[in-house]
This record gives sequence, C-alpha cells and structure tokens, in this order.
Amino acid sequence: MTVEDDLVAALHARADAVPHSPMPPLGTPRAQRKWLMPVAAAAAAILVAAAAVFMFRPDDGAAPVATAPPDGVPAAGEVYYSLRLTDIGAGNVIRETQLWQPAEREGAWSQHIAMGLKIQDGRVVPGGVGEVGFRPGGVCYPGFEASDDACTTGPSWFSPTIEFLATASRDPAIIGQELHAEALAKLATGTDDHTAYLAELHMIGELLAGNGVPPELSRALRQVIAAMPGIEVTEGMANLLGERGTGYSYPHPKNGKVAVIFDADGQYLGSPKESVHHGIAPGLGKPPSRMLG
Amino acid sequence: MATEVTQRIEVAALQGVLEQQWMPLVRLAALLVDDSDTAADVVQDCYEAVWRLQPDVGDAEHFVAYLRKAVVNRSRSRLRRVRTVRRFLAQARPPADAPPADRELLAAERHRELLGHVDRLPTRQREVIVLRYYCGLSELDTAAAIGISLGTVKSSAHRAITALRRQMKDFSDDR
Repeated sequence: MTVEDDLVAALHARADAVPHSPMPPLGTPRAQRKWLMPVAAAAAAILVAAAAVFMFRPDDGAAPVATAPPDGVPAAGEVYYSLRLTDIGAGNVIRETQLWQPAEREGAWSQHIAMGLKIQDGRVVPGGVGEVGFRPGGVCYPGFEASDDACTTGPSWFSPTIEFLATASRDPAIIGQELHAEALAKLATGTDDHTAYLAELHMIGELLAGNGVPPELSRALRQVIAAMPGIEVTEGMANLLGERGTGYSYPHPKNGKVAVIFDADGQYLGSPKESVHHGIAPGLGKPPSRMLG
Repeated sequence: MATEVTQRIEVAALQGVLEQQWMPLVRLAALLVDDSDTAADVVQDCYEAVWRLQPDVGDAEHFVAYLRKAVVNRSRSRLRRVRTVRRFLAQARPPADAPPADRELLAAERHRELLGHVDRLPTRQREVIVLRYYCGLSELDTAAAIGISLGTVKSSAHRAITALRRQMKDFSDDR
C-alpha cells in the first residue's frame, strides 16, 4: 500500500470519526466554545511542566486551573506571554524573546532570550552565537526600576501600557490623528510627514508585537495603516516563519523596508524579519497555557 | 411583494446550501485543526460571515468552493493560535506503546502515525494534502481553494509526500 493510499484511508477515517453536529441557527448570538482551549492548554501546561524544566525556570507555585477570562485578559495570577522571533540582521542570527508581562503597569516582568542560526518548529535552535537563558527583568515593562520613565510618565501610543491599550479609542481616524501628532512631537522639528508616517508604522509594529493589544484595536490599527499616504500593500507577504498575510510597507532610506503583516482576521503576524505570537501564561517564566489570536 | 418573495427564496436557498455543506466542511476543518469542536466553531464563524452578506447562491459549485476557501483560511488562523501550545505539548508527549501484531491494529497504528506526521507538516503542505487526498480536489482547484499558484501546489504536494514517505519508511524500519 502506498503512502498516497494510506493518506486517503487515514484522512477519511479521521473525518468519519468527527461526530455529527447539527448546523446551529444563523444570525443569532451563540455560545462560544472558548473554554475548550484554556482547559486543553492547562492540561498541556501541566503535562509539559516536567519536560520543559530545561527551558524554563522552575517555579514553586502549583499549576493553576485555567479559567478563561474574556477577550484574552489574564486571570488573577496569570500574565501575558509573547514569543517573538527576530532576524537581527547579522549573518542570519535569529533572536527568540519570550516575554512574561503582568497586566498591571507596576508589576514584575521577565524574559528569556535564545539566539541561533536556525528555526525549527517555530522556535530558535539555540547554539553558537550568543546567550541562552533568562535575562534580567524588572518592573513597569519595559522599565527595570520604579524610577524609570516607564513607571513615571503618562502612557501614549509610542509608550503604551496595558491599561492604555484597553481603554484607547478604537476609531481609526482618531488614532491616526493622535499617532501623527505624537510622531511629529517626538521627532526633530521640521520632520516631514513621510518620515513621521515611517516612524508611526514602525511604532505600530512594536505596539502590536507587544502584549495586551485587544483584537478590535489590532483591526483598527490595521485601518490606520491602510489609510496612511503612499503605503504599499502586498498580498501574501510572509513573516519570518513563512506565515502569510497582507503586508503594508514603506521604503526605508537605509534598511530596505519597514513592513507589518496582518492575517485575514486583522491580527498582527509580524514582518518579513519577525514573527510574533501572543498568549497567556500561568506565571512568570512558565510556558503559555493558551494562545491568543 | 414580488421582491419580498424573491428574497425569501434566496434566503431559503442559502440556508439549504449551508445545511447541506455543514458536516462536509466541519470534517474538512477537523482535518486542518485536529479538533472537531474547534472545527465546528471555524465553520460557524464562516457561516455567520456569509449569513451577514446574504450572497447569491445561483452558482452552487462556485459558492461551495468559496465556502471551502473560507474554511481553509479560518482554520489556518485558528491553527496559528494554538501552534505554540502544541509545540510544548509535542515535547512532552510520551512514545506510543507497541501495538499487538494484529493486521487491523497495525493499519490503524500506521494511520495514526501517518496523521501525526501530516499534523506536523508546514501549514501549506498540510492544506494541500487534505484538499488533494481527502476532498479529492484537482491541483487547479486546490490552488484556488488555498489562494496559491498551481506550481506551488505541485511543489508543496511533492515535498509533503516525499517527507511522509521518508517518515513512514522510518516507522516501518523501526517495527
């Protein structure tokens, strides 16, 4: 029997095993099965805890039973998690950054960095090119000390906090105006509009790569970008992991292009030199218990 | 009045096609996301979007191809969200026990092993394999369903089959 024959039989057997379910009524509010992912993921987190000790700092706390809070907001004791792979532009060196960040601005955060030349199954294979391990975290991400700007200055689009992202306007026109005004204010006097838009595109990418961006804000930011003057739109643009979506870019005078990519749901995928995935973890330094869209 | 009647007929036609395609699409999504509950959610999401648009279903074949493409796209998005958790899970998965030397059980074990390798294929290769070998689509229809070129379908299928063949050979050699 060939692999092709086996494939036909195996795929049909798996499909036939899907239990019959009636089509739900359309056009009416429905119950989501969002509880399934956190419950399955919590089980996964418990299973992997022992196997992943070599990658993650042991923690004294017991594995939590995940209760899914709405809209990807961490429950008590949980933290935001992100996995960011970046081609740092130095001989194919890829940096993998895992970041654990609490919802509260002043809370402690931590990070784990791995560097390597190869990506396997969406993770960097560490080796040969630099540091692997937990790096110092701090308080008031991305600050380290309570006296840092991140703890003391007001949040904005260029320096957002989780709370700011949760309460910011979802109107693309308002966001666009605020971003442009902030870009012009932060950049040198006399900066032209194009340079300001370039800075805005870069900062939106950074914001989306960070934690705590609600899905509807991600979609609104995509609309802000789509309305930027002269923005180039590329269908099927791939991020560092080859995940494809719609790319928006500006040429950069020194670095080729500044680009951001969104999937069909308006969620951020990264850029040609970066991939980003977000999730929720049961504590600092722990594997994610569920991933967010 | 005539317009109202026409609208009712169109809504009924849409409802009919959606009902008819519900389970085939749930099964397709289940092969792409591995989980029948998530698969039903994926298809329901597509249906809600289609229902709001109330499209003309005069060309049923074209409409079903459109639905299939929507399911493939949404399955891909859903799969992306769970991929990281699965990577951690895969690291912890214990090796399967050796099955009894029974022909049917061995076939089931071979299928389980093969599907495990299909699940770990890159997303595009997995989509090509499911559409070609489960849905029985031509290379051209597969290209349209995923939104890629014919050449990419051919190369993705070739790479996937080559990889699966190699992995299944390793599986046979180990037994």
